[in-house]
Amino acid sequence: MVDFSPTEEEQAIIDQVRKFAQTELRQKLRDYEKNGSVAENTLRKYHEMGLSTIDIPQEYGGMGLGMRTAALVQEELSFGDVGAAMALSGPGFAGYAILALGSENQKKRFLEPFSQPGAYAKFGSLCIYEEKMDSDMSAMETTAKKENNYYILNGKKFMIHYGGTADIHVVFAVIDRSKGMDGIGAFVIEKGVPGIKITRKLELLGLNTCSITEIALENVKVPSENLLNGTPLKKGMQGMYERIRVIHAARAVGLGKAALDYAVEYSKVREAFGKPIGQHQGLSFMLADMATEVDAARWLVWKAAWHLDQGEPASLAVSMSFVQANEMAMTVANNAVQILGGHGYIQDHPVEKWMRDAKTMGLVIGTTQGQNQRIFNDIAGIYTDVS
Amino acid sequence: MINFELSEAQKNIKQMVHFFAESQIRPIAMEADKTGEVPRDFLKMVAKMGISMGPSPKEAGGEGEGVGETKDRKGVSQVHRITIVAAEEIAWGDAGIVLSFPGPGLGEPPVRIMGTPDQQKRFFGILTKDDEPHWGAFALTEPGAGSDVAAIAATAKKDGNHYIINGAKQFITNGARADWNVVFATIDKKLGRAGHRAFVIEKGTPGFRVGKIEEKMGLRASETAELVFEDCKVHKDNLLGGEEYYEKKAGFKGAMGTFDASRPMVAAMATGIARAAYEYSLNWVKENYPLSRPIPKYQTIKDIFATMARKIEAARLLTWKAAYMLDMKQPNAKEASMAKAYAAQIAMETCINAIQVMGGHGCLNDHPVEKWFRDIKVFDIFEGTGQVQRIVISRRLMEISGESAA
Repeated sequence: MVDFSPTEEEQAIIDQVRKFAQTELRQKLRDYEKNGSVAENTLRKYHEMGLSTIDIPQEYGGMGLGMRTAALVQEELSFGDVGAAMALSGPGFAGYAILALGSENQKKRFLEPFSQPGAYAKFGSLCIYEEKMDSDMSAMETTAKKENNYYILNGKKFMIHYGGTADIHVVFAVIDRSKGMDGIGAFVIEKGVPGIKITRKLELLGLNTCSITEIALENVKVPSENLLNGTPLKKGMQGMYERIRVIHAARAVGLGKAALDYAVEYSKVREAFGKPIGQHQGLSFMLADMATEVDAARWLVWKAAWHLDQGEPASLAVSMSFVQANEMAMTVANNAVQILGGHGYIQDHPVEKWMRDAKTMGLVIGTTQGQNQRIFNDIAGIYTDVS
Repeated sequence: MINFELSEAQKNIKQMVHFFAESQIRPIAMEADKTGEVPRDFLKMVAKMGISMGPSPKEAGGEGEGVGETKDRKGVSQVHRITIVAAEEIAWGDAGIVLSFPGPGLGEPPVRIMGTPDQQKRFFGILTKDDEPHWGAFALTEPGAGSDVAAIAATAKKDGNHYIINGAKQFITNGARADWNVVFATIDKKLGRAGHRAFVIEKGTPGFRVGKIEEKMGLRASETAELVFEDCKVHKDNLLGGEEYYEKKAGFKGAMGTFDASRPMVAAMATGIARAAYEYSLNWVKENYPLSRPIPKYQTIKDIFATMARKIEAARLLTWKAAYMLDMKQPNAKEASMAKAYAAQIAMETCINAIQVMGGHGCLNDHPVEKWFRDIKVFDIFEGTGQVQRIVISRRLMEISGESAA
């Protein structure tokens, strides 16, 4: 039966997360943006609430709460501030790669440490993208060469979240180019292994609260048992990307909600021509459209996450939610700045930051165009390779 | 006769300004954005060369120094058309830097339109007294009065030969560094617009101080200041137009009249930024996209570029029309608002899409597109928000003569 209400358990988590997002993220967002990181104390609280591994199954130490709950949590965190939400600790998208591709033993080995008490400042980093690669995996240049019980990795990775500072890096590299996708492997590089260098800390339009870097791998020696080998890459990657995109879309929804909410509150108190600006038709229609866009994106995201939890094919729903949420976030944040006028353009208010974050979000994990292509392929029944 | 070809004078200016923008402005733009400062040497050079953001007071028909009136072949002044052609080119270079150009800036039109010949000579003279850069500025917006200009709360109280000004102005471009600010205040709020007065308040006037300098999303090379007036004593000689002026007309009209000229200029600048983003991203895509890309992806990108090109062209023509009417001395409020609302909106859209087609690279500050994205947003806000422009347009369409909108 169709139902849009979160369970009691979920609601309790949402309430808790909302409070955390308000006091720990929203109120400190400018400081966190300036520092390029969130405070240790914030990470500690986040970890102690169990949020850093909320979507990791219990057998690997997490809370095992599934994608719907994870999406709700990310939405609330991003309602606080999306940049800060993305800078929080945990295995993150690298965890999804391990869950999707790793063996039982690997999942336990690499994921369990993240849920240990005191592991509040542990980060995972997923390293797929390269400067010349776009979303085309066949253009990957990073190589892994087998030598006895090791692989030697060489290459460069671009736009890497926590690249070079994470506790584990999951690096995709070409083992055998002649085999296409089947010739690509995903390697877990643990902290302390020499050869990973930050070649550049990237300065972006938005999302400057998280550390996003370019890294070089120079003869990085990875033991063979760190090559994820539970599920073939081609088969496992689809599920990995679906989870990543839903989480990313949920964050975009949180951002959109935050910008909308801020603009609505402002339009209630700011007066022009003798009444609150929200009561002028031009602005009230704009706000109404924004609210509709936010909700549409929100339900698409919830539905996609729900499909994933049901174990059903979710590719179409995921792509739709990704495109809708990212485009909505850009439009809504743009309009929120517009509604605040000159005040929206200065850093006394967060909307200019969210507008920069929104545009950046739409690009750090593949483009909406790429996902539109997938949507078309799905509705037209055309098979596509993963990416 | 309908004609879309630039005149010789317009072509020459366009070429000259483009060269200047490309060789002098572009190279310093990213750094100036980062530091929030335009190199002093550059500003000195601009002051020395006499380049300003708009037409010089003399060219626009006022008193003061200038290169003289330029007429088109029908003998009509083409100064506004030349101005917008130049504004597009120079903003193509960098808008943050352009707004920092020495000169009267947005303070020029009110001084020229409302000021007596003596006042014009005096205030424009201050700006050209030596080779150093000098600024004038326009202070209308207040913390509580933006689009609703009539709601300004700064007060002016007559006191013998002086006026005592109290209040605060916000978001004033070049307000802190300016030698003088044109400050709007009311002698009696109950009078509405008839109570508005425009004063030229010079730097160093007792009771006038600069508040905070704003941290902005974009245009970070440009100075945006808060101005505070606490029992600021201004001589009545600094009341623009003199006291008699306000018996005939509302001071507010003076403020509004300046928009007819400034809005096409803002539109032209927005068009320039849009064009910059469009050209940059197009070149990037040409250089970086291998021909092996699947056709459907290409189609999306082709569609994006075709749309950008079409909208930029439309914005430019709306802008030209508004400036043409200004030269012809025809009322152009509707056309000026159309140009401003449309150009600012499509320029934002163009910058969003320019980043989009460059993928992740577009967000990196290795490329200027992310900067233009930040810069352009405010073009739909300052000089009347897009929403206010729509009020102006629709009022003219429906021939509503009400004065409540800017």
